[in-house]
Amino acid sequence: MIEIENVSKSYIKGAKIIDDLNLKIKDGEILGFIGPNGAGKTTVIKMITGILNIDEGDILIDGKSIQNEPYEAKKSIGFTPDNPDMFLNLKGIEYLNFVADIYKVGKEERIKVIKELSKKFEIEGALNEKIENYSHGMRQKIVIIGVLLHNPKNWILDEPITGLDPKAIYDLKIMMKEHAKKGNVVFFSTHILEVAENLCDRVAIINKGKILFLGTIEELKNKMKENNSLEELFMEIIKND
Amino acid sequence: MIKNIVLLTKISTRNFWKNFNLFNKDTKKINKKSIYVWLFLIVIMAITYLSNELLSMLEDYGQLQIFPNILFAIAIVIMFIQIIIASMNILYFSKDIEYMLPMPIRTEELLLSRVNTLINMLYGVELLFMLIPLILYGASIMAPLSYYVFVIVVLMLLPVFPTVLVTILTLIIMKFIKKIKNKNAFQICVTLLAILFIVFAEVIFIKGVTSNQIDQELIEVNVNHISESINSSFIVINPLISILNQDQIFLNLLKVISVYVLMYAILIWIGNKTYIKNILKTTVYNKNRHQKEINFEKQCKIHKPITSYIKNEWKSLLKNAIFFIQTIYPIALTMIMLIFIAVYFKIGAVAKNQELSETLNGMNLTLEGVCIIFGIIQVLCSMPNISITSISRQGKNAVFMKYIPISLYKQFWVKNIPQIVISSVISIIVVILAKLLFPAISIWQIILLILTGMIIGVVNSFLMLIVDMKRPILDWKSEVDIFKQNGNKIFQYVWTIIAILLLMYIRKICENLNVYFGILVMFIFFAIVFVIINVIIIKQIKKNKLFKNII
Repeated sequence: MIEIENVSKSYIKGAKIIDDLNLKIKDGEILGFIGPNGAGKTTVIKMITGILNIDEGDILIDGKSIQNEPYEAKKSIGFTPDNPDMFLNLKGIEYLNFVADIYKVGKEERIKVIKELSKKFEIEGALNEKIENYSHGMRQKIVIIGVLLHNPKNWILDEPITGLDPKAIYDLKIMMKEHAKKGNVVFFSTHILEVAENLCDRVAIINKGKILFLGTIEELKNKMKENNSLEELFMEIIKND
Repeated sequence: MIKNIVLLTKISTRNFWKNFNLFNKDTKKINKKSIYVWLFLIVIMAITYLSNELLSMLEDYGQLQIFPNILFAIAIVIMFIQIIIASMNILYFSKDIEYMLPMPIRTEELLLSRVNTLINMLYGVELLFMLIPLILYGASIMAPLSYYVFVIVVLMLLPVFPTVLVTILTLIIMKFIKKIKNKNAFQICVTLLAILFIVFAEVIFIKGVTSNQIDQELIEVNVNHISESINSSFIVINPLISILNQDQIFLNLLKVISVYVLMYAILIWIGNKTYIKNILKTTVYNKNRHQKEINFEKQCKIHKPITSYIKNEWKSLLKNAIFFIQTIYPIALTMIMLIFIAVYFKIGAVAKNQELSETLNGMNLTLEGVCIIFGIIQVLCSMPNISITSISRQGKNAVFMKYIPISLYKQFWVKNIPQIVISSVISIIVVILAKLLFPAISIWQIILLILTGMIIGVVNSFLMLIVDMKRPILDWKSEVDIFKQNGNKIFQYVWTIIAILLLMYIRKICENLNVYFGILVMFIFFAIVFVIINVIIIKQIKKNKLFKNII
C-alpha cells in the first residue's frame, strides 16, 4: 500500500509544484496517474521512490516512511523509469543479475523469472548482447524484467508504454493486471488515456500539483454527467481547472 | 573539392572549439565565466614559469641553443599521444560520420576534413605548450623580428607531420581488420598498441644514442642527445628547428614540403582505397548479432549486493572505451613511463657513473624529500578523474542509486573504491621507485610513506566525489563531454595545490623533528581531514543534501 499524506514540493521558494497532495493506493489496485505535461506526475513518482526529497508531509510504503526508513521502504518498491537507457555497457543478462543481487533474489527464483519473462517479451536471444545494441523497446523490456525480478509489493511505472510495440504493450498490461491480482499495488503514469481506461481500477487526474479527480472511470462519468470517452472527460476536467 | 573540404573542416573545427566556450556568444569577447579560459591561463602561466627556469638553467650551462630541441622533443611526444587518442574517434567513431555517409561527399574530401580537424586540435596544443616558450627563447637569444615570423611558419607546419603519419597508420591498421565485433575493446586495443609502438620506438632510439655517451657526458648535456635523437627520428623536426634558427631556410622548407607532399599523396592513395570501406566496418558492427545461448547456471551467480555494486563500478570503467581512455589509461601510461625512466636511470646512468651512484646511495630521506614524494603522489592521484566523474558517468540513470535498497553512505564508499585502488597503486609504485633511486630509505620509512600516500589518495577521492555529487553533469550527449566539458576539474587542480601547500606547511612546522615524526604528523593530519570529511558526509546524507542534485 502507498499512502501519500499532505505532500508538498517546490523547486523554487514559494512556487509549489505539488500542493498538499493526498492519495492512498490500496493493495491489489491498479491506479493510473494522468495529467498534462508539467502537471507534477513525475515529481510525485520521484518522491514516492526516494529520488526527490519531500518538503512537507510524508509518503508511506507498506507503512514505512520513505524519508525515515528509506531502506525498508525501497525494498518493497519496483520502479520502471521513463528512460530505459540503463547500464548500456552491460549485457542484458549481466544487468538482470546485477539487479537480482541488489534485491537479494535467490538463484532459482532469478533464473525462473528471467527465463519466463524474456520468453514472454521475446528477447531471450538478446540476453547475451550488450544493452547498448538494444532498440528502445528492448531496453524498456529488459528494465521491466529487472523490476519484476524481486516481485515488488509496489510496482511503480513512469510512462511505461512509450516505445513498446503493440504485442509488448498487451503483454505488459496483462502483467500489470496479474501483479495487482496477487495483492500488489500497480501505480503508473501515462499520457495514453485509452490504456488508463482499459487497465485501471481507479484513475487520479493531476494538474498544477493538485489532484482534480480520484475515482473509477464510472464515477468520473457520473460526476461529469456525460457518457463521453475518458479523453473527453479528461479535457473537460483540465479545462475547468 | 577544396570548397567542400574547407566547409567540412569548418563545421567540425567550430564544434571542437565551441566546446570550450572561450568567447561570449553575444559580445564575442573573452568569456570570463568559462572554466577553460582560467585553465588556459593557469597552464600558460605554469609553462611560462617552467620555460623561464629551463632557459636560465641552460644559460648557466652555456647550452641555450638546445632549448628548441628539448621543446620540440617534448611537444612531438605530447602531440603523438594526443593524436593517437583522438584519431580513432574523429576518423571512425564520431557520431556525425553516419549522417555524412549518404551525402555526396568524396572519400578524400571527408578524409582530409577529418585530418584538418585533428591538425586544428594540435594547434591548440601548440598554443598552450609551444608559443610562449618559443617567444621567451627568442627574447633570451635576442632574436630578430624575422625569428617570430618563422615561429608562426614552423608552428603551422609542425602538427601536419604527426597527424598525417598517425592517420596513414590508422588507415593501414583498419584495412587489415575484417570486422569489429566490439567497438569499445577495439578502440582501447588500437590506442594501446599505437602508444606502445611510439614509446617503444622512442626507447630504442634514446637507448641507442645515450648508451654510447653516458660515460663521458654529464646528465644535463645528455638531455640534448635524448631530444636530438627524438627529433631526428621524426624527419621533419630537425629541418623545422633549422628554419627557426634561420639556417638554410629555403632548403629546409623545401625538405619539409617535399616530405608533406609525399605523405599527403600516400594518405590520399590509401584513403581512397580504404577509408569509406573502413567506416562501413565500424557502422555495421552491431547489426551482425550472434544469438549466443545463455548458460543460466554459469551466468547467474549470486553475489552480495555490495560486491555486485563494486563489480559494476569497475565494469563501467573498463568496458566503455571513452571512460577507460579518459580515466585509467592516462595514469597507467604515466606510471609505466615513470617506472621505465626510473629503472633506466638506475641501470643506465647510475650504474655507469660511480660518483652519481655514491651520491644517491648516501642520500638520507629528509622532510623535503617526503614533501616531494607526497606532492608527486597527489599530482598523480589527480590524473585519473575517476571519483570526480563517478556520478556524471552514469548520466540520467544516476538516480538508480537513489531508489535501490542500499544505504546512500555505503554507496558513497563503493563509488570511491576504483579511485582509491588506483591511488593506492600510485602510492606504492612512487614509494618503491623512490627506494630504487635512493636506497638509504628504510623499510619503516617505506611503510609510513605508502600509508600516508594512501590516505592522501583517499582524501582526494572523497573530496572529488563530493564535488561530483554536488555538481553532477547528468545531461550529456556524448561520453567525452563528461571529461572535456567538465568545469568541476578546477576543484581537482585547486585541491592539488592546497594539498601541496599544506604538506609544505607541515614540513616547516616539523623542521626540527625526526623524519619519522614528520611523516607521522602528515599521516595524522590527513587522517583527521578524512574523519572530518566522513562526519560531514554522514550529516549531509541525513539532511538529504549530498544526493540532492542527482534527480
